[in-house]
Amino acid sequence: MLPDNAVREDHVAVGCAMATRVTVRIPMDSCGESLPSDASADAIGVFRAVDAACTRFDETSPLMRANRSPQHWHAVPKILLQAVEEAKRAYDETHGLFDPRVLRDLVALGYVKTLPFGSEDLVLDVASVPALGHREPWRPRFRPNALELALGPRPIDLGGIGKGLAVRWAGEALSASTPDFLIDAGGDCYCAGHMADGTPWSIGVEDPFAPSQPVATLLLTDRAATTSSIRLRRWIANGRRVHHLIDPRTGQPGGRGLMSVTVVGKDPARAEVWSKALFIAGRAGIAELARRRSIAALWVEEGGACSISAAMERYVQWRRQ
Amino acid sequence: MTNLRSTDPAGDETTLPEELLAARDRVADGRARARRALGRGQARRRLLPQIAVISAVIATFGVADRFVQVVSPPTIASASPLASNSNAATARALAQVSKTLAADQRVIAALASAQARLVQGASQDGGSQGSASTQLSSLPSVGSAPAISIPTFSAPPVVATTGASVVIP
Repeated sequence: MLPDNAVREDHVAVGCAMATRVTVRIPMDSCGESLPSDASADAIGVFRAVDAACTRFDETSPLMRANRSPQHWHAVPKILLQAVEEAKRAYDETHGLFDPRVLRDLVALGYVKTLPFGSEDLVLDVASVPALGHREPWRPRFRPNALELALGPRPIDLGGIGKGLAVRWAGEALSASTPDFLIDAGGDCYCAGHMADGTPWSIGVEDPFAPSQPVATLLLTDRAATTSSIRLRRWIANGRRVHHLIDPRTGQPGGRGLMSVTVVGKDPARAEVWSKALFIAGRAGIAELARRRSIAALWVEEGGACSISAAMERYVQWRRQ
Repeated sequence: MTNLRSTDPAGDETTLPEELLAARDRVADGRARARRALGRGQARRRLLPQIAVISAVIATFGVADRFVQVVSPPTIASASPLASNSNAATARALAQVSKTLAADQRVIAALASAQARLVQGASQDGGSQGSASTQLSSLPSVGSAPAISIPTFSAPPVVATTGASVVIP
């Protein structure tokens, strides 16, 4: 249910990109002389640009062209170059818990195209492929001035960071027009400024067992909230239940004991990366990792229990008991 | 000389002259008057204190009665608003109790709903949650279950939700 002020006093634009719905919400009084429709259209355009350069589901995309011979240098769009640089930064920051080289693992499990997730009965008949994992360090190379890169020995998937980067760049574009806006990209949000009544943006955290009911609500200003969840992107491969969040250390679906992880942070891309890294840490390791890195995190376990880190407490408006 | 002190009335009366008898009568009359006067004085001394006490008591009762007559009416007159205030306070207290009871009924209804979900989950999980349903089975009747429509602890409204990304092919 939307707050009344959000319904009456916001400009809302909706578009489709990156296989999800993107919503831009701007309080009407926040745009100044700019037209909110122009600003929101530009923001949604950013998503389409990122999708075009970084998708792995289009064999003609710049990423997939580079993936075909990853060890060689490729001239790429600036947006892809920046995305791979950010992915390398995330790989280093998470000590490899985030690793875009999981592409072959996902393909081995049958996740080769955009699938109609949402059904428990999605069964993929795939060949039995041994787990790959990634032991060697990832060392992509960059020539920023020439807009060239070489990915390394393995192809990569930017699905773990691409949407976060799109939210970041769309937010930067919107900031030129308005200090107050909300970007909602299929569950990954960025909340700039305030709602129409001057209060922080109210964001629900989905219950992976009952999506219509939140497990918590957050109050955010100039913060991103991203979630890594296996509620939808899971399927049965060779009779085995699997999902899309691959542990790069094993090449297998990770996050033992967890259903979803939500992270709040200043930057949507880093928040997305850390939501995945914390998920990979699993129920046994997530609390310690979130504490050590001072990450604002909320996670729901397979048994339904919901926990938060100390850094998350300041954002929680309401929490299911 | 005659010893007057040894004169016995039973042996000497008939022999006394008229003057002595008259003098004796006068003395007797004087004594009688003195005796009556003395009796009146004694009576006064006995009665006056009692009269004074009785009068004081009567006067006290009279003052008290007057006090009662004077003070009681205003007291009685003010008793009506006091009683009214008391009734209003009682009404407010009852209303508060009613609200509390209604809230308790909603909590009970929510618990009953949770129980139902547990039982349903237990049946889907092969009955592994049986102990939980047993613990909740002693809850009161869930006749007030419609009160769940106004849950006390529902989530506040939100403008967006972070969660699993719905795929739009």
